[in-house]
Amino acid sequence: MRNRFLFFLGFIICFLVLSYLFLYFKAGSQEIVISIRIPRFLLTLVTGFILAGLGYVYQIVLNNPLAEPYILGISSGAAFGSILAAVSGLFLLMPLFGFIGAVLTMFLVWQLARLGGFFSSTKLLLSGIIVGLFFSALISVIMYFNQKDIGNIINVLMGNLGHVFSNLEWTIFRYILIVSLVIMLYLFSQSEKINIISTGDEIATSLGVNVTRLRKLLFLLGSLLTGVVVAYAGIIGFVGLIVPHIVRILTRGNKRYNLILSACGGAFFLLFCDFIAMHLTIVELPVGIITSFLGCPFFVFILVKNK
Amino acid sequence: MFGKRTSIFRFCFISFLLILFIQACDLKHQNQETTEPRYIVTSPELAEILAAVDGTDRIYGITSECDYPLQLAPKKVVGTFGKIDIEKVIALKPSLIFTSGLEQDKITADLRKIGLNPIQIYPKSVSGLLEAITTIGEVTGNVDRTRILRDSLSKIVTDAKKSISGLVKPKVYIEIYGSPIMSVSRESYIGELIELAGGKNIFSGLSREYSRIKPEEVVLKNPDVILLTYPGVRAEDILQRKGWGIINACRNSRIYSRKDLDPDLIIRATPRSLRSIYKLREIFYEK
Repeated sequence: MRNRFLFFLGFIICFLVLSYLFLYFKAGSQEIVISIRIPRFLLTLVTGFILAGLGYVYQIVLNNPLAEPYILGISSGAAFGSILAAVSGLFLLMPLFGFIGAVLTMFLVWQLARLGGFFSSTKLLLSGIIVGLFFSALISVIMYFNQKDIGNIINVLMGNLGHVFSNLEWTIFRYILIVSLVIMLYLFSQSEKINIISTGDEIATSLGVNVTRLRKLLFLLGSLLTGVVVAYAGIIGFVGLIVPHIVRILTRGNKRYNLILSACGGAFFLLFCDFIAMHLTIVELPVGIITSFLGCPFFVFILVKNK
Repeated sequence: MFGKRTSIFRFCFISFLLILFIQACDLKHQNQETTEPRYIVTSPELAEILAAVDGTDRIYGITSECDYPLQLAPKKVVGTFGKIDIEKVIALKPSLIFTSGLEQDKITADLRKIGLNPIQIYPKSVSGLLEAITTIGEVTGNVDRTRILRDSLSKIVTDAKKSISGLVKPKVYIEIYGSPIMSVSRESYIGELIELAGGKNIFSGLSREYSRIKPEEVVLKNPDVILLTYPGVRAEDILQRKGWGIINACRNSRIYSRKDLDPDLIIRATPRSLRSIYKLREIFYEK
């Protein structure tokens, strides 16, 4: 009990210190903090929060330790939408196109997975991968013919939390933020049921959980959230895949709060990575590079220490 | 029953707190009021034009590619051509930001979003360059000085056009990239300079300004002069390409690389590029 309390306290202190550094390190003026850093701070937090939380949910619901928010093809669809807007010169509409791409992909994957009349997580995974590959090919075509937009395309494909918000965009984003966080809260409230699924469909059904319905619902909500993330931040690898595993190893299977811990851990981890990405070199690095660069050794460290 | 009601209540309560918190983050950008002119320039071309028109005193920020004139060296670097650090831009409190095209379309849009004042100028041709000079002269309040510069440059162009009529033009192949090999069309700025200097660009009819080409076409078109503008390539490398030995330029060793002509002089649409027409002509009509 005492240990847990200390751990919690340490986490909060680290988080506060990191937040302060993120907002004020080399900021120059109050204007920069207000118009650039605070939006970036919230975007980073919510992105890490959603990605790691969803990663945890997907790994359980799809019964696959390799599952992550992007595995269902949503990311490629959303990236395709954003990139299409970028090469057409519609920079203001990039998030909107990204989101539309995500939703359309979601329905496509959904319909493919339903072919044959029944619904299984294997079919869902396969259709996700197929649709994802198809959109990746489309992205490659766009990249090949639009060399001048390569910078924007890299931003979408490797993750970029430095989205510049106009006043209108910021207002819209705040509403999206509220909806996303409320959906995340809903997922938390369902976390007991989600954990029951991990014991196997038969047992879960016998315990009174409507597994098929819950899977569908989680898939739908998850896709919406992934769409939001990719639309604003691009594709940031690693967080959704590894952070839930790290949390699982650290808590040694104590499942009650794993979903919340994953989400908070993801937010903290991404905040740290983005801070490094911002300040490591003169030109900001894509955050996706940093997440894997820092995350992989850390994961190995934890794995070795807890073997 | 009791547990369920508490959890719904908790759910609503936390949602409500979230909404309050996020609604509190209502941030608005304000246009910065600055009295003196402070410029940031994000492309090497525009930096050269701006320096020629207005001098370098009022330039406060540049990108790392802006290396000419040398007075720009101590200025603050706000990023590279493709990636600009918006925070550094804001910190310099610019009154006007000169941005270019291509990768900078998005940068320009982003700067506008946060209430800064970018002006996008991307000269693609000689006439575009003259226009750009006029525009920059107007926004910086140097109309008279600009007119003199512009007139002298127009004179170079008309003189060049006059002096090349009736000459037997050498066929020129320009290679702007080696893997894959790429050349330029007559629509591009370099293409236009080559024609003004009296060269006949063998790929003038390409459908895109800068485009990939097939090596066999170079051999077929048999250029008299080869001009290499990218780093890391020497004339010997071209001679060693299989099948290229029969090209006129290779037989007469008329292959010119960066050590013969600084490519910045012809790739960037700047005042000094027009003066480099003379240098190009020396290369084309050597002997």
